[in-house]
Amino acid sequence: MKNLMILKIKGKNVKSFINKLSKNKINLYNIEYLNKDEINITIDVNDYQLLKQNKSTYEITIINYKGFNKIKNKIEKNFILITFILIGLALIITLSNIIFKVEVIYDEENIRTLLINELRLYDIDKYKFVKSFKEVEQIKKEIMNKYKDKIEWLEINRIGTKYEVRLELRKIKNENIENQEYEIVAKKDAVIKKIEASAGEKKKNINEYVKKGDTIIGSKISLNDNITGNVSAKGNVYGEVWYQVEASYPFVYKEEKLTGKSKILYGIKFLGKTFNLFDFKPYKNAKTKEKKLIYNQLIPLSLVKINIEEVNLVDEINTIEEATNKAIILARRRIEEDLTDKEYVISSKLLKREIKDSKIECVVFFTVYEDITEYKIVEELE
Amino acid sequence: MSIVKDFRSYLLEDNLKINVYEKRVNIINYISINHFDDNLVIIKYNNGFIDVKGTNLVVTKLLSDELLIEGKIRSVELK
Repeated sequence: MKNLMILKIKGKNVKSFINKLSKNKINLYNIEYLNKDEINITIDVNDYQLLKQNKSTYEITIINYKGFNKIKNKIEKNFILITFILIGLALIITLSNIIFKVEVIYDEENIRTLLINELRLYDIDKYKFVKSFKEVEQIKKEIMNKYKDKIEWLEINRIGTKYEVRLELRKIKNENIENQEYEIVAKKDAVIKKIEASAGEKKKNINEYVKKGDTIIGSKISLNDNITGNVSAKGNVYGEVWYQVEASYPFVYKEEKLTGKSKILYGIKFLGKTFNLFDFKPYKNAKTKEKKLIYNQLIPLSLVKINIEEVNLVDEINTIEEATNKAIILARRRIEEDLTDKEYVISSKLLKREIKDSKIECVVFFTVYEDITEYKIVEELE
Repeated sequence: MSIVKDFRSYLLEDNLKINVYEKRVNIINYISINHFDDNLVIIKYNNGFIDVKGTNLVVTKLLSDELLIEGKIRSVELK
């Protein structure tokens, strides 16, 4: 691409000027006659100095550039603006990928502090860079594993430059101690679906709504509004509990998973390329580790021992619907992780769906059939 | 010798070429412009001159070996 420039030439008898330019071997790629004394000419940028030397009484004005010089000229003219735009863009991108707040939503302060300190170890802290979806899932798994006995459910969500953490702690059933009287109360807000009472008096009925802490099986046995005896309540209560789970799933997802299958082979390595010997059933996707057995510094040939591990490659490109379904499945899995054999998810409903930063963020409502039994000490038996 | 000359001429393409269109004349491999005004343009080439006659003649492209004349072309004469 030639670097050309467009000039306006003004003066008397421009035709003789054109002739003069031609004699000086200046190429005129285009001549536009505006009027008797004015023309626009297109010349090579390199010929400009020579033209200026021959201009004599003629007025020469640069109108425009063509080719690479046009871009260069525009950049030079708007250099400050372009620089500030680039700085602004870089600032926006950087700041939007920095964490400005980590919020743990839970009543007890010591639990909030514990979790904030734990997240700090994984660099989920103020003024650190945000983590990818995969990293956050891994961090959640590790925290859940570390506090297996304490945390029942953990959710880490990124909302803009803030991380919001929600959790549910495991409630350990109190062991029955001799001379202690217990009643059964609701562990969570729920609608009662089943009451299995082996001791005590039922205070609530099926399909009745109970709040956390409400007595379901009482220890005081009554007859015609008179209390006839005290027992320690025993039994199980199942109810319908509601959860709202936020889950997100990326549109593009790549994962490499080891299947557990591996084998050891021997091969010849020549000029950087390895040829496996006697590999009759090669794995479709695999990770390899080589160890040189026989080699020489001067010869590009060696005998190597190869440890091959089979991997499953997950490479997904999801549509909006597919990503939504997968997010719902993920949310459901999180709920089901903490359910026992007798507990199950009754239904689910997608409440909200939002596309953010090449991932789909969903809010799903679950109704779960769950054991809501909790023993509460009433008073000591005399 | 003539073979060499022909071969050289074939490679370099330095023969005079005149392309006449409806309102334009394109001349390639000329030497210089001797005269030009609204009605007559005289161009020198290897073996003589070319007279381009017409009205409202203007040179719209002027390279070292090629030029383009636009306007109402009446005649192109080789002298």
